[in-house]
Amino acid sequence: MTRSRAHTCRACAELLVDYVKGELSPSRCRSIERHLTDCAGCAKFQSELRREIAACRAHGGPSMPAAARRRAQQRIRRIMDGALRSQ
Amino acid sequence: MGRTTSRNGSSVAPPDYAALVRAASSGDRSATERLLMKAQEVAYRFSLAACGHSHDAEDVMQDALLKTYQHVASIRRPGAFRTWLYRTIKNACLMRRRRGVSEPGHLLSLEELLPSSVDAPSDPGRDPAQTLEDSQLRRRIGKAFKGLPPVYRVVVFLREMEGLSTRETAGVLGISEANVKTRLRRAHLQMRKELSA
Repeated sequence: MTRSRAHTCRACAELLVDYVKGELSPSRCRSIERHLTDCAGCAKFQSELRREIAACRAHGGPSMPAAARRRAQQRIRRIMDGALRSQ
Repeated sequence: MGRTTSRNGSSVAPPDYAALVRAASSGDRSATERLLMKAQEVAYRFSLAACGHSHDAEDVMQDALLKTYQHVASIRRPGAFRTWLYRTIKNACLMRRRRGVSEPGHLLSLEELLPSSVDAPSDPGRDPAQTLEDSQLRRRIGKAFKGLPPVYRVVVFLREMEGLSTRETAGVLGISEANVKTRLRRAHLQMRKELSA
């Protein structure tokens, strides 16, 4: 890899998340797209990043266990019943 | 907006809080109960993402429940409820951290970080090999997410998992939009490194 190519790949990697999230200006998008058509490594990185972001969405983050859900429901019942009694 | 409901009832895409808030503030008991459950659920998940302690999450849930209950009747802009809720939860997490009550704590278990949708029925039209690969990737994402520093983890949680915009995330966390983008970029690069290891 030439030094100038390495520099462009580094700049591309820095901007790729913003590019995938649609948060770059049209001119920067065009510049990234030009680089992606020329560089198989960055193109692969981009497709992996897209999969990673989709997997994050599908993962959905930490889950709430059933026991915590039951306690949450009990708290709601207590707060709602207390409000009714005070009316 | 497309919605995916996971096995624990949590949503990948943001629920329609505005409609729920409007119904709750007009005295609809069922809507109030659903809103209070949503508030606690978001509080639990946010707290785990931010602090990694489930015992803190229970306290933050109670805080979110009380504040939402007190706040709901006086809401003027139902559309702004969602960011208000996240900000309230973030502040509750911060208060606990400042008081030093989060240490030592129960660290986030792997089970709690399992993909919300891991047991979801697979689409019969999908390639089984691809479905398996996606499921494995989601599990590895859970581990990579757990390995992130809290400041990055909370941005990934809000942006990618809760679907907040850059502006909303900046508002919730009290940082600039540029900072949100930087943290998200670094988080993804770190997760990428972990996933390709």
